[in-house]
Amino acid sequence: MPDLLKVKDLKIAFQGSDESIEVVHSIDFSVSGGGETVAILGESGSGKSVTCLSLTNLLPPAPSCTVSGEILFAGQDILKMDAKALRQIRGAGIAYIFQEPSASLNPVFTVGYQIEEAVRLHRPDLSDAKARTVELLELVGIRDAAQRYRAYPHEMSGGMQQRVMIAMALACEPKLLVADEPTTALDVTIQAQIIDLLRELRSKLGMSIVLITHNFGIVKGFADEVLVMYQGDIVERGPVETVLSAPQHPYTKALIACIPKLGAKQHRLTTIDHEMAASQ
Amino acid sequence: MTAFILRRLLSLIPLLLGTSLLVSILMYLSPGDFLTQARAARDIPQEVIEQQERQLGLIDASGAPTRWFVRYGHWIANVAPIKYGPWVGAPEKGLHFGWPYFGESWTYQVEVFSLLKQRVPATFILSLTSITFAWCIAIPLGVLAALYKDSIFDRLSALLAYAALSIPEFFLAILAVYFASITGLFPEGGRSSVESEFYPWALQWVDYAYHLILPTLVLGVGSVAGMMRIMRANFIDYMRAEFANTARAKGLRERVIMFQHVLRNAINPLITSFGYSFASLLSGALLVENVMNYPGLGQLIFDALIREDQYVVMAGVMIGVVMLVLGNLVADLMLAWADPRIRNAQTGSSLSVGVGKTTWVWMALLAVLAVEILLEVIAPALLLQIGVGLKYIGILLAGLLAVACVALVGYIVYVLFKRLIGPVLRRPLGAVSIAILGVLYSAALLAPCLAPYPITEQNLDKAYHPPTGFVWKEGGLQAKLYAKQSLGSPVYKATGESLPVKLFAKTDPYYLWGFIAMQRTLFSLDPSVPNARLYLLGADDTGRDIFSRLLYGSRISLSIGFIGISITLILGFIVGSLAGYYGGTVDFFAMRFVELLMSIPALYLLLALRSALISPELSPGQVYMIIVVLLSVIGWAGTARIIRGMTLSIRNRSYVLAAESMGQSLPKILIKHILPNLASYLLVAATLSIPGYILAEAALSFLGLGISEPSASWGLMLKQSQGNMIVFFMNFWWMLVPGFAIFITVIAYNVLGDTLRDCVDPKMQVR
Ligand SMILES: Nc1ncnc2c1ncn2[C@@H]1O[C@H](COP(=O)(O)OP(=O)(O)OP(=O)(O)O)[C@@H](O)[C@H]1O
Ligand SMILES: [Mg+2]
Repeated sequence: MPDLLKVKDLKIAFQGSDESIEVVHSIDFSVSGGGETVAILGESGSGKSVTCLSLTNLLPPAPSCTVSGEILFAGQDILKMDAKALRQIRGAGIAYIFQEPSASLNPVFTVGYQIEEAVRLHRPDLSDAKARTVELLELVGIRDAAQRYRAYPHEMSGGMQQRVMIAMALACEPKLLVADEPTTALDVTIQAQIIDLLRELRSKLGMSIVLITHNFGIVKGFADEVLVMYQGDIVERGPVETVLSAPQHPYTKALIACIPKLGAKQHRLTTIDHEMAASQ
Repeated sequence: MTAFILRRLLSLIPLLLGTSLLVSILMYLSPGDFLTQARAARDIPQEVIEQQERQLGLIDASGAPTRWFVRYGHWIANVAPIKYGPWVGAPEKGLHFGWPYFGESWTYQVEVFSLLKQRVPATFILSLTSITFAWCIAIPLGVLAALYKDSIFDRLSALLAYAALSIPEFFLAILAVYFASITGLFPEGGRSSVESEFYPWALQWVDYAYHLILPTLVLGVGSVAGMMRIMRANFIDYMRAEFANTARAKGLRERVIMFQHVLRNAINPLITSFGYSFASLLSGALLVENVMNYPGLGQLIFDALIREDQYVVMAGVMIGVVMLVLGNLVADLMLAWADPRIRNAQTGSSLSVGVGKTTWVWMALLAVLAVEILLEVIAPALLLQIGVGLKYIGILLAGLLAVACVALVGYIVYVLFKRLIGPVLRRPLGAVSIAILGVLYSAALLAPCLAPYPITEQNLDKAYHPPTGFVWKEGGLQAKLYAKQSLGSPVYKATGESLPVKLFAKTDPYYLWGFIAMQRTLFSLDPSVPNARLYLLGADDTGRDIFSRLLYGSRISLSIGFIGISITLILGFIVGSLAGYYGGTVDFFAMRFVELLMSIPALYLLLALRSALISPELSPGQVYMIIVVLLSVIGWAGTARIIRGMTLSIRNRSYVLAAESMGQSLPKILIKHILPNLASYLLVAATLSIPGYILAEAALSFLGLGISEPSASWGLMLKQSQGNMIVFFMNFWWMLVPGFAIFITVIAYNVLGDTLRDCVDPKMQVR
């Protein structure tokens, strides 16, 4: 499979009060098309979210944030695109699911309207956008989809809101789905359901996924490849099994040790020792 | 939804009863009555007056003054739409239904209702046009300023907004009238032209509209500024919201995101403010109506208050309360329509919340009233003694309060200097505003040294003398001399002569601050030359020096905010922190009381209280104290509410709980643990509230209820300028200087307050 997405020498810096602060230092990775799943792991603040946002240039504009390097999506450089071309990629090429579904949905519009907006935008050929929206709601497992079409975000539970977000992302059948901690705001049982849903959709629609998470537990059995980010660098990468069985970087080791093992005798959850990780 | 509307309308009844009761008590307490002036005019025979008194119901059949509750009972009986004869409003036995009868206006000798029928629509239309104007201007400006944040346009509009928020409304009205009279582009006042009755109806409407333009602009400008700032801040917040990013990730155009997704969210807070602004405009247009001679409700109520035309006042206040409630209701409905999250919460809310406690509040109030009425009937002497006792308790409390105020202000100033003065001075705007305030306050303190003439010194042949010009002659600065062009007309011309200006020359000895003996003033003319005057800022209608009056007047305007805010803060802190700390019943009672205070339009409350306390024998100092106390007694409610909220969030922090568990006493906890957390907030709130006091005092004096002649205050000086400029059709611009002085002071405080807030916490909600 050819590379769907190829990121080369990506650097992201924010303008601080008097100097610019680089939060991502020159990272490279790639995702191939047709269903490959890459998981990005890393602690809070390591630069996972900004990396993903940069994939379709969603970061704040130039003076407050500068992105350099190359982001090739289907051979075209996202960073060199004009606004119009970029809009074509957004949604239709790369779609997002964000961490906090309640904040990511606009509270004053019905969920149906918000999904339909995306449908109309990228599928002007469809005569009945509403039917397609209801279909999407059903696809992500919302019962009474025709009714729920008229619901407002606040009338739904967190899990349902996240399903709506997924439906919205699928509206234009993207080639790549970026899921930024899609389950962190949800409780454990719902987490499993959402991951199962993603797995199912992946095989049904054949899209590639970039999954961001803190949680090695989710990565196991879902992703093909893992990238571990630490303070703006990719410190380790490789197939999931390899990284899990033989982690190289101390931060990865600590992260793996954090996975609570069922039935294992453990008195304290391991925490991450920054001094040790940084010294590597 | 219907249940919700019904509930709101039902809540009107107790509110109306409460306010009408309050107003009638206040009117009863105010010295004198409608006939006081007639009595003072000795040419009206005693019998006529007595007959009048009987007719108006001021005395009963036996000739004794009627008691307030009897009058109030009559009023209620007339106003109630459901009457039960023969006691309540109807002569025959049984239940009757009928329109409320509001009584007759004593001044105009017509039914109050017919007066209202003329005035309410006029005010209603004015409110509507000015709100529409404000919305139509503020929203686009706010959005543009947000979209082009930090651009020249943004900076400029922020600057203009500052100016618009700081200019006193009545001064703006004066400027508008002045502008109209100079250019002749607009009518100078009124609601229609004199001859408009003979116009065809279409032209009549055009005439109305033409007369509405200036009042609409004047009333609208303040709201434009306030709403624009809110709009800009909201819009910027929502531009960064996650849902905006989601919309972007979908591939929507930026324009669609901004004008659909962001705008719909950012506009909601403005909708909430709509009801409030509607009600406050309806009742708060008084000053503008007064200056622009617009026959509205505000002017009607004001005149009636001054003349003690009781039924007009009562009816007017009732209308005001109804408008407040209706305005808020409309706002809530609109918000529910705009914001789906509120829609459900409202329709589903329960009816029984707080009903039990509210009943208790009303029962307690009624019990107090019943005891009062009983005492008044059975033992008036005892009531008088209780009154005296309460007075002494009041004085004692006031003394304690004063001590507390000084301590609190000292503490806040200490906080200011310890933590914030550095950062504030480092910001250019902060430094400038501190410098301006420094100059103003030093000038006020040094007024006796700086003022060339005593403020009461008249010079009748120099009325409306223009500001003196200077020449450099014979190696020194010389002041030009002026003479009237013709006797009787206030037009002056330079004579070509001049006199040297003496610096630090000797004058009559005086004491600075009451104990420093001084003999020199900064500048003066040779006193041996008769009739030569140096008017730095011109002279007023009796030839008094405006510059000197301005200096002395600044002492009032600049100190009133300081004293007022310290009383407000201490009251707000005590009530708010106790309510927040204890919660439960204490909280409930305190907050209901606060809401009651906040629900009455402040200006009318102020006027009513002020007219209740007014009497000619008060000295200027006493009037000053009364005004300060009134302003702060009315103003503390909002502060109390915010402090309560903050206390509530602080009290559960672990250090407070720890202190509690160690058995520290309540005052100690409040002062040691809660106050320091509030200090910065108090400082910012104080700085931003001081302008309110300055403006309120100016407005009161302007209306003739504050500082009175011959003392000087900025509002009072503006009042002089008002009539004369229209009478003479002349360009006495120097009479407007006090208005600019108010403007500069207020803007300096606003800038300082905002700078302080930025240093403390940019997201802090203060107003
Ligand atoms: N708009 C911004 N302005 C300035 N700095 C930012 C901005 N957004 C992110 N950062 C900084 O970039 C760094 C990376 O943030 P990022 O949100 O990518 O972390 P993350 O790995 O997604 O963490 P989390 O797991 O908590 O979501 C952080 O140090 C953050 O402070
Ligand atoms: Mg993140």
